[in-house]
Amino acid sequence: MSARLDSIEKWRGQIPDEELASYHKGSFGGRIGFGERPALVIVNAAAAAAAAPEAAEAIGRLAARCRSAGLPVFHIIPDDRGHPMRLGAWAWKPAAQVSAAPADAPEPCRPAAGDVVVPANKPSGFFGTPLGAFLNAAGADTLLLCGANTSDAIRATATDAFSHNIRVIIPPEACADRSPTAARASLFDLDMKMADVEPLAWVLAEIEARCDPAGR
Amino acid sequence: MSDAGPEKLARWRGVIPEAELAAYRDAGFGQRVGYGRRAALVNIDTTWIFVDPKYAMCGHEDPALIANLTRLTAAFRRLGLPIYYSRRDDRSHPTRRGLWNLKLAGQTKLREYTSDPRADEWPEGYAPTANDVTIPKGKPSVFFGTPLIDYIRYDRVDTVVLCGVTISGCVRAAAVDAFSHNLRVIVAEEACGDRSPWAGRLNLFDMDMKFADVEPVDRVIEGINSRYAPKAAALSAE
Repeated sequence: MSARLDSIEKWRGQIPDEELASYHKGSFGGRIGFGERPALVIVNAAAAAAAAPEAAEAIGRLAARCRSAGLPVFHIIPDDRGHPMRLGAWAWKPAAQVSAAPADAPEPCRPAAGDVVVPANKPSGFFGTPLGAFLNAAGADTLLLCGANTSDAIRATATDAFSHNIRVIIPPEACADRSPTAARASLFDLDMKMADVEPLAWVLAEIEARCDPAGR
Repeated sequence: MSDAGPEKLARWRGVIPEAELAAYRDAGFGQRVGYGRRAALVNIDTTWIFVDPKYAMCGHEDPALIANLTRLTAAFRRLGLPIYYSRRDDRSHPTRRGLWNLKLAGQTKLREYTSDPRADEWPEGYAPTANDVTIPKGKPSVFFGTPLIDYIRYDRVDTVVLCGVTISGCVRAAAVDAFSHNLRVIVAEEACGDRSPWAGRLNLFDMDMKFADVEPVDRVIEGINSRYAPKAAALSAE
């Protein structure tokens, strides 16, 4: 109960008091927590690095910790959008980066040997991809989710994971967005209704405490 | 585990020509998948409409099928393992029926059955209880457009035992989708049926070679008892 109160209270000052009250009233903000086996999912690390170099550094630390704990690491990257059909609805919401060839992520958050790269066509890493089946194969029931952008791909991936009954934990320091305001609103929504937004230091410590390098 | 391949192939001798079997052996098909850490039973479309010959959708009476479904269900219940039941969803609107309108001329009859609630209920022996989950479905695979995979994930299940009808339709479609979701698939042979035993047999062969383990009901019950009984005992001791 107190953990839930805290999870709502930590947003005080960022969300008007009278609005926060209705989250208390609806008992939102419960903690989902870790399941039995987490997997790291890094969404569009190149975009994260471009928007916030410190986020790329945080992703790198998280990835290193997960790899040394023997946890699976997935990278969601934009797929080939060269053909108008591949671009699809993105053509109606045009943005320069959407049709650009995907950039390489900088060193700290680049895929390492043993990581799995999943190209995705739309905001959610689950939409039309085998990510769910890969997580089944890895026996993973919890996503540690990071990358960019918080207000589109992270949010869409977290929402789909919730719908698939997969737990989601998001360290905001390892997320980036061109609009910190939009990012804050999405993190608030996710923290209240679909995921746990938790400090990177806590997530790193939990991985250390829960996961042995033998892979579990 | 890898030596089970030849055993599986041998089982199909007499059904599939020797030269064709050799092609499966050479390609390395027919390995045994086995059980994972938690199994669930998926009971596919065994409502009266498909198991009672008074309905046009049921080919023939099959008391052995009913008996096998009943003891398989009892075995899963004893171990406290999840059971999911599928049945046809609401087909009252043409859009809901979709391509079934073109492939199944008896749709008028099917609509009559919607006024007969018994058509969509199960025989008492293996009927769902309050603890089981029922999944309405519109197309052959119980995974298609349903949240089954998400239920399975929530229940921490990695192995599905399939039973029900028909082998060549919905059981096969479920087996292929379960395989694609990276679930282990075991088909409980005599707890499955088909209006065409011939089509059923050949579909079992395909599944046994490429997506699943096709095993007799006795062996499935033995398998889940030896693999999951200790966990059930530990739970009831708590």
